[in-house]
Amino acid sequence: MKPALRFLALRILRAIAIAFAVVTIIFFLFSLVPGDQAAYLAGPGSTQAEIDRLRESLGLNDPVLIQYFRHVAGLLQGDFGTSEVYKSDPLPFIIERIPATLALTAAAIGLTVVIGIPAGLIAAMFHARLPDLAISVSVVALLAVPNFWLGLLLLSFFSVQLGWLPSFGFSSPAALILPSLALAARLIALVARMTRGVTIDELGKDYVRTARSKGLGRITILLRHVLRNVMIPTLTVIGLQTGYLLGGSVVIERLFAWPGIGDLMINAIGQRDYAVAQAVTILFVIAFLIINLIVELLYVLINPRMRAA
Amino acid sequence: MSAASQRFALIAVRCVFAAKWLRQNVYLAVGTVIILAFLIAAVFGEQIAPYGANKQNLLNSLEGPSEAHWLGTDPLGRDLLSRVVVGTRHTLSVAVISVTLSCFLGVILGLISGFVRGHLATAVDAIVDVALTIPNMILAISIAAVMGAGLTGLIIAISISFTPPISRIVRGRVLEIREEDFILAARTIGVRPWRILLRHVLPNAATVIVIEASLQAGQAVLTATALGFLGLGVQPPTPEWGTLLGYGREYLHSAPFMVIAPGLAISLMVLGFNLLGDGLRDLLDPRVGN
Repeated sequence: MKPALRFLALRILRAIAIAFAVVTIIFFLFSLVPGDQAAYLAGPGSTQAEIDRLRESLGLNDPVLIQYFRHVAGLLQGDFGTSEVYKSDPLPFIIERIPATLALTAAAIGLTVVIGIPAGLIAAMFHARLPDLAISVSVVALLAVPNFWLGLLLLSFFSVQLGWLPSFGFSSPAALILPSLALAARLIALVARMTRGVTIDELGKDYVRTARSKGLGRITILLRHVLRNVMIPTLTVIGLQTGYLLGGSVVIERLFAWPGIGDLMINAIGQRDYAVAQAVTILFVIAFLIINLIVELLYVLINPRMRAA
Repeated sequence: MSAASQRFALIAVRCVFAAKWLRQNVYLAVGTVIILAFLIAAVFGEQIAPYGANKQNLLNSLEGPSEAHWLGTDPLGRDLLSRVVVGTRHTLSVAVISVTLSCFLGVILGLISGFVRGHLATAVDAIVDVALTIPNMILAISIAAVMGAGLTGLIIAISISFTPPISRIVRGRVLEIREEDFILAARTIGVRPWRILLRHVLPNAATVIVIEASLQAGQAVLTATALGFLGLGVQPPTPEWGTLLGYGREYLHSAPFMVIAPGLAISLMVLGFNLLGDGLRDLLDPRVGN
């Protein structure tokens, strides 16, 4: 087998093993929920017989290990348990909400690349001068600001005061702007900082001097030669921050009443619908694993040195 | 020189050095000042605050910033400045306690996986590996959901979700240290492994741990307030910053000023911890040149 394929196969196997382990951890975590789930779900005023029947039908009388195996067997068949609020399989409700979350995170990554990389390049070009200082200070500030507060400020200013953009829901593409900006802010700062550092390093290297002596302009060198080398660390930052993106999306979705799976998760927790909360958590982890796989693949594609290895 | 005066001289020299560091290291100086200010607000919150944090005055409901109420009042007429000042205690203690706990756990796990070989280390590695694949915030939300909203749940959620990254960093440092000559020397003269671990490895890893703890404290503030914002943190009427922001969101149309102060406070505290961490790194870690 080709080394690259072997590498890929090993990575996928590892991801599957980890996914299985995470499912186990999440199951036992959620089995720690205090109180009588059946009594809560049956609602106030229900008789003991009704509660007992519900508990039996949910399989809550079985030993935890039996419940665990049933859970895993169910997952393998695409059965995510029964939502007590929707009284049905929660999967359709979750799937229905995936596109909104995907749009939000994809837009955030897009904004990160479009704003973060140029900001870092500009800072590096004007190293130790005013634009560099301004960008570096903004980076420090952005890393300290909580995304949900930034979201609140954007909401307050652009939606409530100016009325330019919608304040909640995913009704139009314009609605995507504020939530994705709030979510991306931290990533933009990290990418700008990384790009600035790498670019300053790269600009001092021999190939840049060669290109200069060949008569190439500064902008051409930056865009044609340096940028290529900057892409790899940028990709690393985005890859490392995938966890932040997914976790942050939960908070941002809540703030903007965004119809994604993060909002669903918080709703489910509020209604003690733990089957849904658990299913969404598992989905988040699987998404995380898949994105990390993609990042590793992109590495190999972007960096020829890794292709040989 | 007597022992006492010698010790005094030593302290004096250290103070001079500390002052010099602080002047050279702007990050460290600013970070220290910010965190000290919050520490004072956390301890003396009630004394500093102009009004009682939970003192209602329905005649003054939702008043904008004024001379009497610098940051305005909330729907129940409570003074927002007082609520933010008194709320410092909750956010700061959650951050400090949970980072202390996660450092304690993370250091133990990191030492085991970096220094001890065998099945135990493999098991620890595997668990940390898996835990790292659960996004931090998602893990914290799940734990907070299971534990129920409240201070204890919040602290447990953050401590557990912050342990894996710290353990990973400690492990990396320990793997470096164990290859050093002085460890080999200690082994050669027959020092027992646990003694090497505690007397030689741990002190050398301390720098990394301190820097990481400070940076993680900033992240802990962000996570704690985010959970509060989601309604999974400390419950009202306790004036926790994240909870205040969640409350303010409902009044964004009529009283946009309600969200200014808590968010500013959170940002400042995170900034303080971040600067402190960066400053400590410049100061203590010779490998990072500036």
